[in-house]
Amino acid sequence: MPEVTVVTEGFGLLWDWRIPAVILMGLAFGLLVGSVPGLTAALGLAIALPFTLTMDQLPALMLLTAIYTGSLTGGGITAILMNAPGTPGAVVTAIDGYAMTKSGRYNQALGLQICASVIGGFVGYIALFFLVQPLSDFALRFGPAEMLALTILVIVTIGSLDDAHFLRVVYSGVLGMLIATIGTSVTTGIPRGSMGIRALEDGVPAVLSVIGLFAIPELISLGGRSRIVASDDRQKTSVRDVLNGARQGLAFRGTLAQGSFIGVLIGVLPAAGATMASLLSYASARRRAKSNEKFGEGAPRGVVAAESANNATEAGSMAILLAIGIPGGAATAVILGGFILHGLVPGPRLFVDNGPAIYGLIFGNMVQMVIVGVMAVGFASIVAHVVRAPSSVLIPCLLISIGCGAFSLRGQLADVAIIYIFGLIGYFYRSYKFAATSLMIGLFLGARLDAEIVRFAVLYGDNLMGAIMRPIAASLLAIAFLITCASLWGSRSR
Amino acid sequence: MTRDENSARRLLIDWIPILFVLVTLGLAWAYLFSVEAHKYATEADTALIRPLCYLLTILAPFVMWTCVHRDAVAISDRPRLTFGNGIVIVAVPAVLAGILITGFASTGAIGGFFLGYFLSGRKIRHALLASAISLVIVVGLFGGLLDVGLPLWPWSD
Repeated sequence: MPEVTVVTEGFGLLWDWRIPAVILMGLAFGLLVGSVPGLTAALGLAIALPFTLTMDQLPALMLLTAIYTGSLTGGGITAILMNAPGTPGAVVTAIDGYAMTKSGRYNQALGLQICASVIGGFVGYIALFFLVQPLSDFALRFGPAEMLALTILVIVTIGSLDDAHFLRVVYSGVLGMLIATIGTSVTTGIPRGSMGIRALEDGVPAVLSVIGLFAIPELISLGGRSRIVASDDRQKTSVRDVLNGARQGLAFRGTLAQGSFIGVLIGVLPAAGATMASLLSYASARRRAKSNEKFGEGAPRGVVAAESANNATEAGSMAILLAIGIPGGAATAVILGGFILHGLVPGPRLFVDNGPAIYGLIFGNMVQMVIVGVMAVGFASIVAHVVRAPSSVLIPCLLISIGCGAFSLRGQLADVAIIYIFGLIGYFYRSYKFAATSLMIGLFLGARLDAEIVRFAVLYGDNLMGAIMRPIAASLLAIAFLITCASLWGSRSR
Repeated sequence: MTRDENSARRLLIDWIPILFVLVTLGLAWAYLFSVEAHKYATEADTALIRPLCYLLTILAPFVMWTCVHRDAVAISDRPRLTFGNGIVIVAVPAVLAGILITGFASTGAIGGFFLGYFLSGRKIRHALLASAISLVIVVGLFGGLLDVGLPLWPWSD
């Protein structure tokens, strides 16, 4: 259980006028980014990150998490109104949501979506509140051997999500770890692979690489469309009907609980994310549905199942980020960058050193979940205009913003080069299924492993079995081995 | 075996990922050797790099094998490159070169104009709008409001 004094101190940090201000701004921007297909939370966070440089710790992190929350909710609005999911996680929402729109029930569908998003996210953060401390305490037992085993497990798990390209994903992860070793050696201080470039002496900045890897490929993909959404659907939403829909959503208690549970659980898994969570929740609700509920043809339960899981993944991915320091996806990787920029290092020591700030963040996110519901109702009426912006204007502005943002983080032109080069690498990765997420995990965990590898060598020397036989490391490696076998078997049989 | 069956069994090789694997593998080993060649280098400096290079070398042939397909279906799921995608791909290094040589402001204005012009199908209105907004972002937002010290012009430090 969390310590009462730390929790109350964290709650007290919220009594600052800047907190509601950044929450409102972050949610509005997040809803905007989330509702626009082609722009994801990672891109929105990348653009916002430089703006947090002049802020204090908690308002800065609150802004970033508000953008994340807003984008998860916003994705469902365009999915329902135009069959154009704003985020990958909202694809499942579109199945029944758009079917409801076609039959004229779009206000009800929006109400259900907003209700499920708010409840899913809120329940997720309650789970985070209780789980994160034990998870963090558990992570304190992690030494170099456990970190190595965990890195292997994470990369293998990401690979297992796409059996057909398992080996490419693992190759990417290893390559990411190798890139992470570039920079001044922590043991002897010699430069490694920096080629005389001053910006590389501190290593390849993982946050900039991740922003490039994920944000620029989105812009390249967006270049293929003249408008973000070509659909001419222009439904006129009614606040009263949307609220009625939200009230009806409360009746699906079992589905809400199940979706939230699945969302938190899947959110913990790196790279699995909102899409898989909403798919699993939808499939599970469909299996348990009564025969008269026509899933795929506008079943309200389908919208509730997908959306509750979609938003609950946020808390799951935040849990693993806060407790162990592993970003589950691109958005949490940029949030991790925000933590580091503001002097917080996610991982086992985070709660020991900064407990109140983290509980403040968790409480703040609960508040966000309620406010996002209110804002989404109003936002639904203007979203149709927003998504008709021409991509020919949007892309140049975002491309140049990303460059400015990269420079503003450390004031080095080399960082602009790094972000753009990683952007092109990211597009290549996306096209050839090498999994940028795996490279990202390698970049983040490789740097930590590099720092610990000497300690590993001193502790275990030639006795590798001694390291492997430690219970946690052995368990993690055994799971990784089983997943590898299953994935290779899956790709072979395919 | 019929002619149709023969053509169905023809091997299709995806050369680009193979090239990527070979280049990254070469760079990885070059990196390892460059660290080892440093006069103050010790075993600890390559403690992680060396096993990672071995691992990449072991994985490489298997990854390359995944680039050999018996039918076209396996490589047909790749996103098609449209004119718009191509423009943005070309724009990324062009914008980078522009920023490094002429600074952010002129790149924002000129780059924004040309990118907007070609992406919109040569509409001057969109190009001017893209150029103006880019300039406002660079000069007004990052240069003015956030005051991050961007090198705005070619003569800026």
